[in-house]
Amino acid sequence: MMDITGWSAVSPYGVGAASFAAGVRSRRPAAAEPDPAGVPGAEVCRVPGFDPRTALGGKGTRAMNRVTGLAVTAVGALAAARPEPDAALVLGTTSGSVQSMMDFTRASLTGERPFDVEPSAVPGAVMNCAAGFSAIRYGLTGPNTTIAGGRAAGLLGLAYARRLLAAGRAATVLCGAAEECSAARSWLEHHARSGAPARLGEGAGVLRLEPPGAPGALARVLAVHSALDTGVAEVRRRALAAAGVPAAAEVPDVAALIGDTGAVSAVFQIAAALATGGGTSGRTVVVTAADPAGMTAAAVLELRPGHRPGEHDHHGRLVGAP
Amino acid sequence: MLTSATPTLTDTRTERIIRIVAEHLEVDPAEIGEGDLFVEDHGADSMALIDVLAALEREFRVAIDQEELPKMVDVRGVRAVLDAAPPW
Repeated sequence: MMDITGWSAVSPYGVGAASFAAGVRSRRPAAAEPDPAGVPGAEVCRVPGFDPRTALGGKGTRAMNRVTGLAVTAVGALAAARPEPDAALVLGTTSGSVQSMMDFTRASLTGERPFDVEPSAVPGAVMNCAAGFSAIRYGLTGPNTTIAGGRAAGLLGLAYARRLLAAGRAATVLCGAAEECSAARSWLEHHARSGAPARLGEGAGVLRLEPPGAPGALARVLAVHSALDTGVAEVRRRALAAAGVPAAAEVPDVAALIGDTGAVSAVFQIAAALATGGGTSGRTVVVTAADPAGMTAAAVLELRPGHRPGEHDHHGRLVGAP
Repeated sequence: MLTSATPTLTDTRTERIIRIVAEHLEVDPAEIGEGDLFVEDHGADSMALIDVLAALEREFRVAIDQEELPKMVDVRGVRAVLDAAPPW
């Protein structure tokens, strides 16, 4: 068990937990724009006006790719709200920035010499770039972990964070995920789904996790379960059994509102539960995720009694909490 | 060695160096003096210096050995390394 004591979101609703909370509460679909890869009939929901240099300034951002900029911005909202140098960082991803990987390979193939590539483009083509840059920028010296799990990544991260806390490796874990919209990702996903229609989204979401009993807790994570080649219904049942609760309200996927945000989708579902109070049928909610590669996961959350919708500040903290 | 014998050419070349250095050190070109130390005065890290080296190779079509990096502490040092660098 562990408690969620804060959250941040950079989403197609804009930068900040407040814009995300307002968006999901009103069930307003985020604005969409034409697909960057030109996939016919496809649209994407990007974080409006987001650019790493604009969001983070001109220092340390020259070679920063989009997914890293999104992650750094979301991590920064929590790190700035309550600086904790020893905090661990666990960040979910699908495969980092496939755009940066393709750009790097293309530069090597098309440059005058194969090694005429920008050295600073190398980190961006590696999956743990976003987690690494986030920790460097905010001085987070705790364990730094990247978990590639597609749409299940956010929940796999929760399980990993729980182990870090249980083992005493960190007193606080910043745990989230990031995904970018790019022509490369859209093209790959378009072919992976055999032309079926889709609306990609992007963003980054981060939860602050602490051992149970932390002051100002917004929710308690009762159980997390994941499995391979196992149906969502079964992992949900196992997670509920592990949590010791007979039933829980299902948190609706927010993909209909902000697009398929890939690795962030489960984190955004948790953020939506925190922002809306989890729906109508009680304070215990279940979040599920299924990745096309076969991984399914479920997490059971108990929203705290003191929690009421509409009481978050822009850092996602409960207003008036200690 | 570059001298004042070819001021226009020298200036252009120095300007090109400063433009590259400024881009990779993320500072305004006007802020870079010829004797400014990249690391101490402008906060360059090792990745930025490697980037400068690679960008200079592309810009001036020369081969610069990474052994030369310790000499490239300021614009003057870069100019000296470039002067000695063989073309591709």
